[in-house]
Amino acid sequence: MAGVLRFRTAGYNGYAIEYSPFFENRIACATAANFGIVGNGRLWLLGVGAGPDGMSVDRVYDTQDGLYDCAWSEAHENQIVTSSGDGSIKLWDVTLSDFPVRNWSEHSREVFSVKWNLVNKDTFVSGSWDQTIKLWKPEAPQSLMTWHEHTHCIYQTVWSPTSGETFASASGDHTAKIWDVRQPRSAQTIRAHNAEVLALDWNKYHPNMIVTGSVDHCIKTWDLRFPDREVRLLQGHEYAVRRVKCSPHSGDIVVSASYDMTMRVWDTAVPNRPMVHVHDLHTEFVLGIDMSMFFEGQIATCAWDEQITVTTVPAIIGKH
Amino acid sequence: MASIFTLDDEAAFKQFSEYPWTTDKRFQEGLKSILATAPTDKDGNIADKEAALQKAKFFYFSKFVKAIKPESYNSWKTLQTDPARHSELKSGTALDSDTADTAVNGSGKDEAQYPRSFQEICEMVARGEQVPGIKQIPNKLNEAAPSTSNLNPRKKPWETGPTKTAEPASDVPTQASLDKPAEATSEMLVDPTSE
Repeated sequence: MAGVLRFRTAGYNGYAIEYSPFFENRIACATAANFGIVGNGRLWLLGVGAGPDGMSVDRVYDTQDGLYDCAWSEAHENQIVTSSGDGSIKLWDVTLSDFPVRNWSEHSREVFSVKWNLVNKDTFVSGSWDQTIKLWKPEAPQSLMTWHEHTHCIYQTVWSPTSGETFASASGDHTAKIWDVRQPRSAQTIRAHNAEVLALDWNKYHPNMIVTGSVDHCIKTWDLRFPDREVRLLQGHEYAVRRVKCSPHSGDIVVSASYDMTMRVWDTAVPNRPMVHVHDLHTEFVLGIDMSMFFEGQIATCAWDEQITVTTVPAIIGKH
Repeated sequence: MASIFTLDDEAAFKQFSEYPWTTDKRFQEGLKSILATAPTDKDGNIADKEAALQKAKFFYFSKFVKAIKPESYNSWKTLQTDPARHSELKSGTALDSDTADTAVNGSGKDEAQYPRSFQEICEMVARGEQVPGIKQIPNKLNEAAPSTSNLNPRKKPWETGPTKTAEPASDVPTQASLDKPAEATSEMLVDPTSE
C-alpha cells in the first residue's frame, strides 16, 4: 500500500482504533462526539483497502455516551467489546445492527480501557476512572473479579502476550502494576513516572518487557526483573503520551500517539536516536494507534481531528 | 492549521524544528569551521552569529536530511506560534472534578492546548446549556440471536509454537513466569511472516 489512506469520522473524535485479529482488512474505531465531554458515542467498523477512498464503512453503532476504547474478541470473529464514558461495557455482534448483545454497568465512572485476553481468549479486562479493574467473561452476567488498588484513574490495561493469567495496568497514580488474575492483590508495582501514566503495552517478544507513556512526555521501557529503573528512556514527544503499542513483528519497535498531534515510531535497538519516524498527519490530539498483525509496518491512527489514517512505515519492516 | 503547506513540507519543518543540532557531531564540526571564517566586527565578534547559525542549519538540513526553503519554514513557524490557532483551556472550568483535564493534565504552561471548539463545549456545559445534537439511544439489547463463531483464532506473529488456547489452569504463578528469561529470543530470528 502506498501513501496514506484517510477516513473522516464526521462529528466524532477518535479515541481508540483496533485491527481485527481475524480479518486483515477490518478495523474498528471507538469515538465520542464533542471530544467526549458530553453526547453520543459511535463505534465504526471499517474495511481497509475498500471503496474509492481506500477505506469504507461496514457498519456503525451509536451509543448514548462517548466510547473510549474497544477490543475485538480473540475467540469470536464477529464480536467486539466497547467501553464508555457512562461506565458501561457493551458486547456487539457485527452481524447484527443497532444494539449490543450484552451490556454491563458496574463501573461508576468513565471506562478508558478494555482489552481481550490474548492467550486464553475467553476473558477480557477493563480499567476505569473509578480506580477499579474488572475481569469479565462474555457469557457471564457479572464481572468475575474486581481489583481496587490503584489510587487514581486507570487509563490502560494490557494482557501479557504469553500468559493468559497475567495483565498490566497504568494509572494516574504514577504507577504501572502487574496482576495475576488468580490473586486479589497485584504481583508487582512499578513507580514508572513522576506524572500520570496514560499509556502501556507489553512487548510481544520479551515477556519481561513492558513500555509506559506518560504526561511527562516520556516513554520508558521496563524489564520487570529489574523494576527500579527503566531500560530505556525515549524522548521526543512535546506533550503527554496517550498511547503506546509494541510491534507484533519485532521486539524492538514501539509506536506512540501523543497530545503533540504526532504518532512516532521508535526502534529501541538504535542506541543514539531511536526515533525513526514522525507521523505528522493529524491536526489535533492523537489518541488511538494500532499496528496490523497481517501487514508488517502498517499502522492505523485516530485523533480528535475526526481523521483515521492508515499508513505503512517502511523503516520498521524486516526488523526482527 | 493553514493548508498552504503539503504534509511532506510540514513533516520536514517539524523535523527541522526538533533536530538535535547540539548533539549532531558532523553539524557542530561544520559549524565551527563556518564560524571560524565568518566576518567579524572591529571587536572580533561575529557580525550576526544568530543569522549565520540559522543559515548553517538550513544548509545542513537541506543537504543531509531534506530540502526545505527557509522562507517557507519561517512562515510555517509563525503560524505554529500564532496564539489565535488554539485557545487555552483554563483550569477550573466547571467540568466535573478531574474528568476532562485529567488525561492531559501536565504542569503549568507545559500543557497541550485543547482545540477551540473543546473550550466552547466546556463553556456550554459550564453554563448549563444543552449541547445540540445529542441523540437518545434506547438502552436495550439486541433481540436477534448472536452469530456463532466459525473460525479458529489466527496465530499471532509472535506465536511460533502450537497455540496456547488449551493450556490448563495449572499455569506457573505470575512472579515465577516473570523471573523466567525471555523465551522468545531464538524465535526472534525467524521471520514470522515467512510461512
